[in-house]
Order: sequence, then C-alpha cells, then structure tokens
Amino acid sequence: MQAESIQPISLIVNELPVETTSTNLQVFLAEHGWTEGRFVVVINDNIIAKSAHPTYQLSAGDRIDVLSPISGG
Amino acid sequence: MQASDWTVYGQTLSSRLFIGTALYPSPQVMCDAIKASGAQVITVSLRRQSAGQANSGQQFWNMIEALGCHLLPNTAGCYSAAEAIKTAHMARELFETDWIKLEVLGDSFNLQPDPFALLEATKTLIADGFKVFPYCTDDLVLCQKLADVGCEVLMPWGAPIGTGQGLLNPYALRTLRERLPQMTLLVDAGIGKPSDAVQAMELGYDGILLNTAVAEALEPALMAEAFKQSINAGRLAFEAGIMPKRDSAKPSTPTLDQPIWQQHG
Repeated sequence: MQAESIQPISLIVNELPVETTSTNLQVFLAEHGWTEGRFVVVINDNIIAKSAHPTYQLSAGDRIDVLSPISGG
Repeated sequence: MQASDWTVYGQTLSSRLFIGTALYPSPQVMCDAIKASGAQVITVSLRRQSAGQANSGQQFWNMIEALGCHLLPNTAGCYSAAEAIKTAHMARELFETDWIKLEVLGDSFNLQPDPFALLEATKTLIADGFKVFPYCTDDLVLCQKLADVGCEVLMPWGAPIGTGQGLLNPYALRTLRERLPQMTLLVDAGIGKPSDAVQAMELGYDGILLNTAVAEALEPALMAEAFKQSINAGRLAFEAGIMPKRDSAKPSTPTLDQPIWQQHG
C-alpha cells in the first residue's frame, strides 16, 4: 500500500504566490521565518489572533498578509 | 520651569511633543533624537514584510520598546476610509493600543487629508473603540464635525507633510483654538523649525507632532532638544498670558516724578 502523498496548496502571501504542504498556520509561518516577535497575520481580510495560530487551517487560495512594525511619522 | 502636565485620552503627559520615528539616518540617531526630545509619544507604522525581512521588524520593535514611550500607530498611505479602518484594526492588534493617528489622504501631490473619508473613518473607528487622533486640515467645519462624532483630539496641519513651511494659515489655526476651546489640539505636519512650534504653542495649541524637521536636521538630537525647549517656551508664554498688540507706543518707564521738562504728555 502506497503512502498517501500530501498535495501542495497555492496561497498568496504578501502578494506573492506560494505553494505549501503545511496547512497549519503556525507551522506555515515558522517555515517562512515568522516565529516569535511582533507581527500580525491577516487572512482574506480577517485578522487572525495569535492565540488562534496553532489551530488555524489554511485553505487553497487563501490570501495571507503578514505585517510588522516599521518607522512612521 | 516646565509647562504644566496635560492629559490625552486619559493619559497624563508632561512633554507636549509627539515625535515620529521615520527618516533618520540610522536607528541609533533615531533613538538619540527621541531621547533628546523628551517626547513620551512616538508615531509608528506597519507594513507587509517578506519572511526574509521578519527580523528587521523585530529589531525596530525592540528599539522602540526600549524607549518606553506611548505608541501612536498611523494609517499612513491610506486613500480610502475602508483602507484606513482596516489598517487601524491591524495596528491595534500589532501594537496593542487603541490609539490611532488616522490619516486618510485625498491628494497624492500635497498629501492633503480627504475630509469626507476622514470623517467617515473616524465615526467607524470610534464606534469600534478606538481613540482617534485625526490628521486633518485646518477647516473649522470639518474639525467641528470630528469633535461632534467623539474625537477628543484633533491634529490640523500647519502645512503639507514634510514641507517645513511652518504655519501657512495662522488665522485658521487661531480660529480653531478660539472656537474649540475644550478640544485637545496638536499641530501635525509642516513644522520646519523651532520658531514654528513656538508660534503654534503661543496660539494655545496643546502640543506638536513632528518628524522631518528633526530627522532631516544635520544633528537630529540637537534639533530635538531645540524643539523640546521651544515647545516648552511657547506653552509657558501661553500660560503666562501674552500682552495684546497695540497700534501706538506706550512708555515702559514710568513718567511719574520725572522732571517736568522730560514729561512729554
């Protein structure tokens, strides 16, 4: 019996196309360098609270924005 | 002597200078300038950052956190109420504050606020529990309407952002002060030199928000100190009560008991 292969899903992350097999948000973020620290995640225009990251499941076509603090006037 | 403490949305402050964190030649220069300014409120923003840049956002956060100032996130670069509202919500999540410097621009040439979209966004954000600091023009009717919907603070421009033109319309700014005596008013944008800040403070403005004039000075920390002193001087002058201008001379030396030939009426 063959192991079931995990099909990658396509996402838009900060306006760039990304393919991933990680559908758990926290795992996906960690794989892309967003681990500890200050950032906010917005998926399809909805803010995802940090407390929800470990359980949030990504879907194909999700549009993800990750925003960080910058200087401002 | 220092000017008296004041309150902004329930927060007591001693400094009347809000300062931006942008445009400095280096992070260290920024920190030195902010410390020299004595400011207790600094403006910040948020942007998308690629995974490779994730650390730069964190480094910036670590620096501003170490300064111990209150954070005032902005909605810079937004051209619609919907965009500004969305950015404000993201800023609240990111910076953990309900303060928002609300910028909704209507013109990309002079970065003039769009008064209609600004009012619309202000109403929504106040209903959503934000403490709104609207960056607005010096239009009296707009400012009255912003006050009517629940703003406690208004931030009319002195001149377009980054121009350093000073107070282009002192009449309008003086009118705002006179007509909205209960409002907390800060001049935001256009301040180029410390005497511009003095002029605004002497009009009775509660504070100044500036960035470029310090960040682009040859010696930002020195300029920050100059603004600190000028804002304090302007406020002290306002609290002391400035004499009225007169059209005719009035002797400052008493003439009583002078010899008769020195008395000229």
